[in-house]
Amino acid sequence: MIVDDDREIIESIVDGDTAKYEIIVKKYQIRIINLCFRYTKNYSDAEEVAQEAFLKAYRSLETFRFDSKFYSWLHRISINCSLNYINSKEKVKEKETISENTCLIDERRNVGDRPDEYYNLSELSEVIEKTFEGLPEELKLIVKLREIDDLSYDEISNKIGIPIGTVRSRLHRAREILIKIIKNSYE
Amino acid sequence: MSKNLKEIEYLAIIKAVLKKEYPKKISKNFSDRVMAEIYSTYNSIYNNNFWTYGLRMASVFVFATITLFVLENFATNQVQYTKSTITNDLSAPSKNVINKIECNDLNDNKKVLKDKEIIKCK
Repeated sequence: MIVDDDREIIESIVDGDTAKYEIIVKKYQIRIINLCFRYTKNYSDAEEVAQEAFLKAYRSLETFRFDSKFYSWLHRISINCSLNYINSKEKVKEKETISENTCLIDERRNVGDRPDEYYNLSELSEVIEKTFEGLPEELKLIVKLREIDDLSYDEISNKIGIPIGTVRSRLHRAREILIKIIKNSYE
Repeated sequence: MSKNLKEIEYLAIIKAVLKKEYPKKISKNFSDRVMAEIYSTYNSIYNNNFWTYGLRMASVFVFATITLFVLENFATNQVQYTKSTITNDLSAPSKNVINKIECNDLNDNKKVLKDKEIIKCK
């Protein structure tokens, strides 16, 4: 069985604490929407497909046996939903001829017409990357191992040869710096 | 909780950016929409609270009671017992048994009659 950070959250959702599913959604929404966008090529549709994937995952949460990481499971569900979307869209295309009206509808459904309704991640990524590059080396390494390589605290501790407590505190410091950057951009 | 959620959201942005797995933009209310859909449609799926459990137990009890009642009243033969004790012995039928046997064997019967006639003639 694989050690999963989400295990505790998932178990409490299955026990009836539905509100905790929001943690899961917030944690993975960007990466799942991005995955769906690779198939849909449209932001609005990507969010719709991602929403379907999250709902499908919620419905089947009881069947998740922790044989893999939760994100891998959610990733597979999202790919299936995206493929279903493509198939259904192709069927619609077979039935309908593309008219000027449908093009107008697609334009109108684009995500976030108002800047306060969405996160502009292409702008934000520049700031985050710049800040990350400017971090002290010991913090940068911890962030890289944890956020990019997905290593656990134990694994990081063994890899660099420092106590888990130090790993936690360094990661906490680095995260605080990075979160402050986002807060300054949006609050 | 909401402060924690905001922090989780920001951490997710950081992770997505560092992993280079992000779209150009996403709606800020995406998670709200998902949760609203869950509350309106699927809220009862994992609602294993005390009342649900109690309701299940009550329905099991009611079903068991009804089943017992049905089995008790309709499934068995209704036997009516007399109030007094029956003492008469059952007697085996003895009358006409011989006649019946004689009648059954017609050839034997004819033989007997013939023998009687011969005796008379003598």
